[in-house]
Amino acid sequence: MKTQNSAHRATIRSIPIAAAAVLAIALSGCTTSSSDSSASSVALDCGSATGTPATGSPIKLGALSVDAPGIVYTASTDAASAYFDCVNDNGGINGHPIDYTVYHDALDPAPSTALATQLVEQDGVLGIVGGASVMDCLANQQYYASKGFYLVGMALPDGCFAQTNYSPVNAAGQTIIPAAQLLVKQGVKKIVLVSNAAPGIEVSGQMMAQFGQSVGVETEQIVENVPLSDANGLAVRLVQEAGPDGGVVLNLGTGDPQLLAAIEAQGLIDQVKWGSDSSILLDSTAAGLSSAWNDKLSVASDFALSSTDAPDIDQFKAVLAKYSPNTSKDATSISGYLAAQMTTEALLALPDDQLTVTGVNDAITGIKGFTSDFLCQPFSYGSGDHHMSNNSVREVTVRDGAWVETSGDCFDITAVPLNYLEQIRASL
Amino acid sequence: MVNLTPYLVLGLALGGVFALSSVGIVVLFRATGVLNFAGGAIGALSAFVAWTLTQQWHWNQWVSYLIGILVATAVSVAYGITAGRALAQRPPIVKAVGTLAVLLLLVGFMTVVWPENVTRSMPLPTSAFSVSIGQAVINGTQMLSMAIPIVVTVGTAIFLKKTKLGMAMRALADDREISAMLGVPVRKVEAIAWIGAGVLAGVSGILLSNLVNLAASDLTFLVIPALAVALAARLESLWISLGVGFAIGVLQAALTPFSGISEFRSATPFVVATIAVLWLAWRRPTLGRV
Repeated sequence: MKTQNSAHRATIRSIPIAAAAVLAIALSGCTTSSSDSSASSVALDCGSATGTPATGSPIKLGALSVDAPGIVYTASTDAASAYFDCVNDNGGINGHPIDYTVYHDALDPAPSTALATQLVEQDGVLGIVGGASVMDCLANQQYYASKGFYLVGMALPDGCFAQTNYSPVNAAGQTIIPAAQLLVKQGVKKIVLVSNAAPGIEVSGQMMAQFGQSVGVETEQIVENVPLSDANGLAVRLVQEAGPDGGVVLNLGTGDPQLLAAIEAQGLIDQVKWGSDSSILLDSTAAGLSSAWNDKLSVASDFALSSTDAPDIDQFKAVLAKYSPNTSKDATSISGYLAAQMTTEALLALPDDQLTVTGVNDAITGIKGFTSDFLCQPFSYGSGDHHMSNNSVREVTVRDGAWVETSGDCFDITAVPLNYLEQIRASL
Repeated sequence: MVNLTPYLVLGLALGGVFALSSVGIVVLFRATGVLNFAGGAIGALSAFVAWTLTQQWHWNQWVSYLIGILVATAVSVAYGITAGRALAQRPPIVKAVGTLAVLLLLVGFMTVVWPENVTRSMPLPTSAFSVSIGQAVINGTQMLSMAIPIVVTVGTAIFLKKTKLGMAMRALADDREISAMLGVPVRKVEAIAWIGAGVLAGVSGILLSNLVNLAASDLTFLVIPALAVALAARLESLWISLGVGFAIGVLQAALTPFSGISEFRSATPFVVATIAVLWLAWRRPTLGRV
């Protein structure tokens, strides 16, 4: 009897657990996006494009990408991994498949350093490509330099642009300057930069001040903690500070959607000119904006939109559709994909006896003139203490819940002392 | 000279957020003696379920909100009649920590099912209506967030004082064992308290998803400033909790236009709570003395 009652109670207790599991499965199934059916009709052209899987000894590459609450950039390594899978199915690197190891770090430097050490010393990777980590740039670069590694991947904090051995594929927070350029073109007399309160963010304000001095426009920086505790009050303050002839550049990252909703709720869209850096360019952010925002937001985009019809962009979508259909098609995955693609092209020219740490990293630093429909200008690794090869951008705006390029024309980011663009352009 | 009027008006709306969150904490504490850290997470779950039903499955929005609230209530009751009951005889700190487990489980569940790298929003029909007061605009959802805590406070105060069930809840919070010996139906009363807490959390979650953000961590950790507000009311007075919530909202909003202070204004609930607790301790020094 006791056994039957225990079994009955166990059954009763397990019902809510089973119900929760069913609910989770049902809801997650409805929240994942469907793959692009048109992408599957594009013939894949990865690496050697032989159509035959590579079977030789593997070439080990690796990367770190951040996966922390509210800060998730794993799409970069997912896209890089997808590209390498495609390369492996098409002959690899002269018959050698790429063995790509990815670790996810968070916002603590110590675990990130441990993972970097593991990649280099235990996993024995020859190159580090396609990563997107906050800590990797800031905590591990000296270690990588001591081991002869030169990285190419996505920049997250601005510190990534000031490393001798890191060449970012994207322009990230540096796009606040071209966003300001777009507002100056619209005739603003004052620019307010609203930034996420991250360590070192005052450098963005100083860079904006240097730009303002160069064009005769007053600038101001307002720093806010994200998530925003009072988006409505912030929206009112931004409009008051910018004034009737002013503009606001958004640099809040994950706080942007909250602020945009508050701006609209307070009826402030037409009070000033609005601009943003490229971090706003998530499809879900555009989808959440009403038609009141149509053509009212000037965004400086470091990549062509993935919705653009162009051969390289179609390839990107096709590769993701086949090898990583759940990966979002945004700046993060584009960065990882391009890093993988340019590394593959560099390695294809390498003889077998050069497949060493030195040989692979020499090939990576030798990347020069890599072209893609995503980029405004050819990418080169560059030399010196600062790197930002992707320093020409496009204007994007929002229309009917989607990002659209206003003209497709590219323009250069203005060089100011703190973005080192004069030196960078000279080194490319 | 800074024009503070729009900030003061918006501050009342912000205060509605704090009051809505803190009143739920105080209500449940008064009824069960449990300091529920998971209230925000339960409310967030309600909002996400409603979002999925309205935005993904395109169900009727009122049915979706109701289902969201029912899910929140079910989770609240499930905890209350299982772990809540098992921990009923333990010290208050243990009962509170038990709710932390629910918080962590729910946050983990929500970030897997609804990852935070995607922006989500759930427009509420009450936001379509708005009123301009000077330079500020207050919409229907904000007005509701100001009205609901007042209604809940009035209703709960009357319920706890005037009804048999309310008196039974107060007795239970004071001393569970003696209440049971006196014939109070302990399990029934506790279950009803958890049902009420779940309904309030569900409603709050849906409103706050619109007022703050529809993100698991943002909604879940609203419990922290809400706790500060509830602490300033010594977890005793619903009226003080209500008043302090609105006062903090206005004070925090009023700090917005001042550079140098503005970026620290989210600490306002904690500063006020610290001052309130120290002042009350100074006013009533005999409390706690052996």
